[in-house]
Amino acid sequence: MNEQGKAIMKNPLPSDNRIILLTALLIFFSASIFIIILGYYIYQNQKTYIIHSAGQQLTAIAELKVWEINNWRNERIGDANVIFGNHEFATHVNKYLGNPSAVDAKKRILSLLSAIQKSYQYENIVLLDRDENVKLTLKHSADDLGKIHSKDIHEAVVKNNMIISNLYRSDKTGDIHLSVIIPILTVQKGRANYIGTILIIINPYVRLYPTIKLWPIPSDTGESLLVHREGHDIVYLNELRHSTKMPLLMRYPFTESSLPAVNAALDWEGVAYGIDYRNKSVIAAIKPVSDTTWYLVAKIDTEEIYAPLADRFWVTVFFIAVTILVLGIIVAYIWRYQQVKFYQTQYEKEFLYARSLIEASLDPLVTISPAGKITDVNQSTELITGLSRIELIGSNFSSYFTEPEKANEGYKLVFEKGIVRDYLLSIRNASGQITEVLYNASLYKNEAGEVQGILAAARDITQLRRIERELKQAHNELEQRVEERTKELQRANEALQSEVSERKEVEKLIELRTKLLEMTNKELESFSYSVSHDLRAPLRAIDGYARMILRDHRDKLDDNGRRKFDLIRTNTQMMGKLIDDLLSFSRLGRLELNMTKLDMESLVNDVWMELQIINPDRKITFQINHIPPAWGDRILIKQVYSNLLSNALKYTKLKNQAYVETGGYTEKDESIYYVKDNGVGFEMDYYEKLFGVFQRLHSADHYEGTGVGLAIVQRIIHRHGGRVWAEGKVDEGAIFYFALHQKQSI
Amino acid sequence: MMDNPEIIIIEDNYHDLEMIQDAFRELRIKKNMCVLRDGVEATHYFFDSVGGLNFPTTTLPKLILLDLQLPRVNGMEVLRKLKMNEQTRSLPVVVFTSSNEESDRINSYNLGANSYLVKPMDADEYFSYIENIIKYWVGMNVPAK
Repeated sequence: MNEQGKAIMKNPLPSDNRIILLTALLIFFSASIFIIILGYYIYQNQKTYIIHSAGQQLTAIAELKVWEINNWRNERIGDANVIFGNHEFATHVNKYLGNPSAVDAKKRILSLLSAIQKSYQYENIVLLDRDENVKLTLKHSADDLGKIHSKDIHEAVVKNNMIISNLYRSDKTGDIHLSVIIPILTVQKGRANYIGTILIIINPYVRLYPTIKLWPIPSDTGESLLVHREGHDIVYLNELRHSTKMPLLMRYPFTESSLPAVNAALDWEGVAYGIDYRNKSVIAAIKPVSDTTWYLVAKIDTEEIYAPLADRFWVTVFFIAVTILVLGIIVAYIWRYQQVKFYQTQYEKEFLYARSLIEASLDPLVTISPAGKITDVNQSTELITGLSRIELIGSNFSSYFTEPEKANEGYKLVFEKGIVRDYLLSIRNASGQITEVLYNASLYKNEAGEVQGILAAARDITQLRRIERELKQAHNELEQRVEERTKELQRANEALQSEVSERKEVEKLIELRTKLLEMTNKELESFSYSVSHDLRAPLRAIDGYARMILRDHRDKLDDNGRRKFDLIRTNTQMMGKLIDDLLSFSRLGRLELNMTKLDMESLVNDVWMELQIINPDRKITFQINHIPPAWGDRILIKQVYSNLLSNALKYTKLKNQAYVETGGYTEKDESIYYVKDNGVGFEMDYYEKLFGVFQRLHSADHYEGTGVGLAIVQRIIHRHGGRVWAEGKVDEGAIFYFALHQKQSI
Repeated sequence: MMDNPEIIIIEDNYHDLEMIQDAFRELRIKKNMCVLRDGVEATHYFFDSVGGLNFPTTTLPKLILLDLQLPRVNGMEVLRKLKMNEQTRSLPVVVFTSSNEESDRINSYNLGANSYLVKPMDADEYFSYIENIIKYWVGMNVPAK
């Protein structure tokens, strides 16, 4: 029991349990994948959000900067407005330019210009005449300012308005400035007259660059750029946060399309992603500055943008890992629980199965402890002892036997040998009834191999005993009958043996006789053969000499003598014929039969034709009825028909209306053939002589022939294994029959 | 020396011999003929002790009339010897016998007999046989009866 139990526990998972495991794993993995995908999606969403908000932030910064630049520009125009359209000032300028020595005019001009310069720390303010020559300046300048601003001056005069020039770089000093160009006009007789230009030269480092540079929020990489287009290049107009290069000196061709600045110069507005001048990945917001060719680029490194994202990435990863772990634990727990439940059910089933097997046994089963106490019983034991399970368990096992000593001995034997077979004991039922049983017992052990007790199974042999008795009785009866029968057989055998020996003697006798007969037959044949031969020679001689005498001495003989010599010759020839017939008859016994299938009708036809040739003057009605084919020797059967038909011809020769008929029919396994005529017939009294050699029923004087014809017929048919017979009546004709076996019966 | 015989008759029965000779007489055949009365005599007539021919091939007979029932060596043996020898095998041999046995007929032809005739019972027939044999094999102009 334990061995079996262990084996079951060790069994690999049954297939349904394996399916549960697979399902659990499947759920676990799909859920994990779902979580990972979800995490990734969330992460991507965050990223998009961050970038989007970064873009928004940058756009806001760019707008702020543009607004500030515009403000700054408006302020400059406002400062310039003090001069532009100032008639008084224009008058002074006109005066001064007309007469450079006009001190008052010069003084007034300078004081205004100084006031303006001081109010905003302008780099310089210069007065140019119509020919763009410097006429007055607050500060010495190395540059040829007229030349630098020539184009802008021209435009301002045409537009009749102020212009803020682009940033420019001094060839001589390398300083960067931009200027407000104010055309000075006088009105004479309602006509504006251009007389000169005021240039307010601005140092961008004073306010413009700081304004641009200032990043409204703390950032390591945030930067605003001012760029503009110059031919096919993009030029950086302001100081760069991450480059030592001077403004206006850094330029890139448009082909560097990954630069946000290039995008800006290409009139692109909005948020751009690209690589900046430091080869770093950046996000940029681009805004054009109105009324200028400038574009403002507010950019920040993606690295900085993504910095918070990295934290979030790890947080997400951590959460995903934790979720998967928790999920795994849950699934494992559920599976484990299922498994435990499965084995529990299995174990219960096994237990019930084992118990039911024990109970199903018709033999009483008992387990006995090493101390000899009953530990378990089945129903059969209860039945055979007449006691209940509760009464039996714990009691001494040997007390239920008629011979407790013998039972104990058997019990010990089990411990000695490990097993005991067919141990005969008798159980006493509570009601006193005794049952004869055969015990089979063996040790049973626990998993560790320690002996737990004895499992004993008893076999009720009451029925067996009864059958044994009956069998013995039957056996005895049988033996008796066999003995009787043997005796009978012996008697019969003895009788048979004597019969056999008798028969053997008879057989020997028959054999001997057959041999004798064969020998006689052979002798007879050789005898008739040699006799015929030896008889022929003298006959021939007689005929020969008779002929010689008749020829040579004819004249010496009278008629009577000649007649008698003729008779000698006729008789010798007659005898010759007899000998020939005898010879052919004896030859029949020696010939081998050449059996073939015979078409009897055509055979009869052939014979009849031959006979007609021999007897051309006979008028006979000849009828051939249906004749079945036969199996025989063609030449011999033809001889039979030849003889029978010749006979029919011969014995009808005196009839006016000769009639011959042939035919045949099949009866059972033989075919019967007949030849019928209406000739002289014969007396049935002499039937015995009919088929004898040289036997005649009619005078040779009337009917020629040797009397061998029918004997030959009989001999041929007998050699074919057939029968011959005849029917006849004097003057009414005769019927000759012969019967032959059909092929399958031969 | 006597001319070599053209017809050899090998026959032991005196009566048959007389009938044959009578027939010859009746047919007025005047050819040299020789009669041998048994097989041994016949063998010695043709062959010497070592099997050679006793006379030149140019003087061979035209016909041998052979009976089968001969004393000592029988006719079949004589026939065999004649037909086995290169020099005599082309000699015409007519077997003239009283045996009507199928086996005798077949054996004779197998050994090379040129003809096989059964002696007839009728003396008139017997005469006709002799007449026809001589006409056919010796080519004698036999006068009509």
